[in-house]
Amino acid sequence: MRPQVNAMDELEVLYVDDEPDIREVAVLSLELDPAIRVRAVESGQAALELLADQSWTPDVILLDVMMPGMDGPGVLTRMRAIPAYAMTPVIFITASVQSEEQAHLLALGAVGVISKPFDPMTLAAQFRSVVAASRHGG
Amino acid sequence: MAAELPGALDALRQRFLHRAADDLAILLTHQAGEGAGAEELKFTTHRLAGAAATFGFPAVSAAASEVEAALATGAATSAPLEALIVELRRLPRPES
Repeated sequence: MRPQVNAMDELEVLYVDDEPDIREVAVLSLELDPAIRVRAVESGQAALELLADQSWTPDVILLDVMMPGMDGPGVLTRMRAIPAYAMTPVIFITASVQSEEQAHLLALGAVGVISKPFDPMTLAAQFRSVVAASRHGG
Repeated sequence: MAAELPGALDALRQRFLHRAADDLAILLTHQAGEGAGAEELKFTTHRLAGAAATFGFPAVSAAASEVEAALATGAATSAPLEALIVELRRLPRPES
């Protein structure tokens, strides 16, 4: 059983986004927090291959929603079928601002949704806040 | 690390501007009726909506979102697509 993730723990994060510039910005931004380490991949398929390998296991997964091929919700569904990741917190990140869409993403089992565009200087704190809230049932 | 972020963002912003030029070419082919299909238009505009706002070009982001919205509802895209093309043409040229 995976230990509970404390909001101030070191966090290994898997970030999945098909947009390369956003990936780089997000990694730089998240790693402003010295206790956050990020691996970023460009597609849902690449994410599932990395997860299946299990040589490295993320504490939290940050998923873009709209991606060619397999979208973020598709990744979440397939990931949950892997026992090691059945309970891994997933946060969606999306440019979609519709509240219905965000409610739908939460209903899929995500613990939070971060909106794009994000502020690179505060993304890490925002990310921590979502993780912390998920641990406290908020 | 925090002090290095603005420089890194500037470099990424320049890369975005290069990519935006490629996206403009894609959109022009769609405007001419020769695009690869609705999926390409959808992903191109979605990518622009997110990236443009992140790198400080809200007008491009907003225009791209309008095209996205039209595609999602099945509305005509010619007017919002033209508006997006206009905004992309207003972007500064990449520095390198």
